[in-house]
Amino acid sequence: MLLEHYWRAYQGYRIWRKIEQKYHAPLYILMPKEKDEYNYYALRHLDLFMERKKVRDAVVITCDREAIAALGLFCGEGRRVRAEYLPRGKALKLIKYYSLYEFTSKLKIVSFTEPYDTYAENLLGIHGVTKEDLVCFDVFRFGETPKAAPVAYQGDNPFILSFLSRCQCGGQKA
Amino acid sequence: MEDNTQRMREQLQCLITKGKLKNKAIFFMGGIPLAYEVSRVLKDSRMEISGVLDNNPQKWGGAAYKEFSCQVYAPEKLKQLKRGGFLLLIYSVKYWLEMKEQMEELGYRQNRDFIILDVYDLQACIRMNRKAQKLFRGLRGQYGKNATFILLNSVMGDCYLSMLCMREYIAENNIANPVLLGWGVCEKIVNLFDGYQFVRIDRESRIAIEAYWAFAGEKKSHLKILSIWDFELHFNRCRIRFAEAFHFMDTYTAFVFHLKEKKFDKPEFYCENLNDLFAEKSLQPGKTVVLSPYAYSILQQPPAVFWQELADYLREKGYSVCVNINPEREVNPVSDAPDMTFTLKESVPVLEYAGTLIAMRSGFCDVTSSADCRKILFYPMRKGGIDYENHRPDKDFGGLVNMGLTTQATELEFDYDPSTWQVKWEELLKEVKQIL
Repeated sequence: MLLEHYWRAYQGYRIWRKIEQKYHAPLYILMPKEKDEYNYYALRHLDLFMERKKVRDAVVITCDREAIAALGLFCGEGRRVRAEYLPRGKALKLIKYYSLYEFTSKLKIVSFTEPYDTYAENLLGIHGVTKEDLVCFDVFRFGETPKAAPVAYQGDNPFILSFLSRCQCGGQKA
Repeated sequence: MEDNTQRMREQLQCLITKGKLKNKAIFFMGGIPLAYEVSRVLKDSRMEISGVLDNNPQKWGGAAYKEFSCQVYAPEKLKQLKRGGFLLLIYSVKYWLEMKEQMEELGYRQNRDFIILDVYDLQACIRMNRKAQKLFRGLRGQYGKNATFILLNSVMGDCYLSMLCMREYIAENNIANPVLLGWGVCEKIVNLFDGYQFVRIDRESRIAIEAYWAFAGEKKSHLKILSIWDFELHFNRCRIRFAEAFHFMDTYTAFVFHLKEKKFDKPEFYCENLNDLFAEKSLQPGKTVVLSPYAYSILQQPPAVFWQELADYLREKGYSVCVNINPEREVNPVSDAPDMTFTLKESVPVLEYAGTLIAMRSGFCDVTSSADCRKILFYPMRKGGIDYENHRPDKDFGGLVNMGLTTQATELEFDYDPSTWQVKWEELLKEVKQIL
C-alpha cells in the first residue's frame, strides 16, 4: 500500500510549511546526510550559486552539525545564509514530499540517491569525474566546476576542523 | 514516435470548448517551439497568441518565431493589461514551476490569470501513482512476484543503445525474470533481439510508472528506469554525462547500466525479398543511395532543396536514389525519388543491398550502425559551450565512430546560423560532392 508513503509525504509537507513560514527565503539547500562529503562541496560553491540565482538570502537545512558550525566561513559579503537543524528522519519526510511532486523550485537537495538514485554516482571516477563535479553540475547546474578559493580558518573548533577536513576520497561510488 | 504534445492539445481544446479563452488576449510563456505548437491548436479555433513572454531582454521586441508573427515581451507586459482581459498559457516541461512562481510573485493567480498546460501537479501525481500501482498489480499477477520490470527509453535510438547493453546488465545483476516495458517503437527494437518478455504501454502509463518509481522507490516498484533524464524525473537530472570527455555510449555503459564489461548484444536483421523490393522501385543493387533526411533530436535541418540537389547530383553520377521516410507523418523532400519504407528488421540488409546511406544523424543511424555499407552522416557543428539541458547532437558526443558503433562512417559537420537555425546547406552539398 502507498498509504504509508502518503502519510510520510504529508508530514514532509507540514515540515516544509513550518520552515517556509519561519524564513520566507528565496532559496533552501537541504543536506539530508550527516558527515557527507557532498555537504562540504555544496557549501564551498553555495556563494557562487546564490550569485547566479541572484539571491542574497538562503537557508541551509541539515542534520549535519559540523556543516552548521562551519557555515559562517562560506558566506560571501552581502549575503545571508541561515541554518535550520533538521534531524535526518524529518529530512527524509521532506524528501518524500518532494518525491510526490515538484512543489517548489526554491529547494535544492544535496544528494544523488534521495529521493531516488539519479545514477550520477555511477560516473564517479570516469573521465576524472569527482564528487565536487557532481555537486557543481547536477545540483547547482553549473556547466563547470569553478575554482573556489580555499577557506581560511585559524580557530580550533573541532566541528569546523572536522568539516574542513572532508575532502575527495577517491571517486568511488558512495 | 511518442507525441509529447497530445496532452497539451487535449487540455487546450477543452479550455477552448469551455470558453475560457473567449474575448481574451492570449499570451504564452515557455519554449518558442512549444509556442508554435500552441498557436497551431489556437489557429484551428480562429484564435491566436497576442505575445510571448520571456525573461531574456535580448529577445524582447523581436518576433517569437519565424513562422508566426507575434512579438516577444517582458513578463511585466501583463501589468499594462486589465485583469480579466488576458490569459497567460504556460507550457514548459522544464521551467513551468519557475514560471508559475514568477507569476504568483507578480500577483497573478493560477486558473484565473494563467493556466499551466500539461503539468503534473499534486492531483495529477496522485492519480499517476494510483494508475501505476494498478498496472503493476496486474503485471505481477501475469509475470510473477519475482518479475523485475525495466522501463525502456521512448525514443528509437536510445532504446536500441539500451538493448545493446541489456543482456549484459541482466547477467551482471542476476535478474531472473526481466520484463521490458515500453512504447510502440520499443517493441520494434526489442524484436531485433532474441528472447525478451515485452509489455507495450502508452505515454500516460510511462509517466505514471516514473512518478510511482520516484515516490514509492525502486524496491517497492521492482523497477529499473532507463530514461532517468526524462523531464518528469525532475530531481537533480544528470548533466555531467554531457561533459567534454564523454560520448553517448558512456550514458548507457557507465551511467545507466554501470556495466563492469562492455559486452554488446547482437541484433538480428533479415529481409526476404530484397530483389523484389529494389526491382519494384527500379533501384540498382549496390549502386543505390538511401537518403534519410529527418532527425528529431537535431533542431537545425537542411531544407528540401538540399536533398533535391543532392539527389540530382547522385543520379548524374549514376546512382539510383530513394528516400527513407515514414509516409504517415513525413514528407519526401525529393519530388522525383521514390519513398523507401521498410521495417527496422529489414533495415540493415536493405542498406547493405543498396550500398550507401546518406543521413542526418538520427536514431535510425544507431539501429543501422552495423550495416556493412558506405555511410555519410550529418551532424550540426558545435557552436560555443555545451548546452547541458538538452541532448548533444554534435559529432564528438553522438558520433557513431566515437561511440564505437562503426568504423565505416564519413561524418560531416554542417554550419548554420545560430539565431535562425538555418543550415548553410550549399557548403554541405559541396563537401558531400567532393567525397562522392
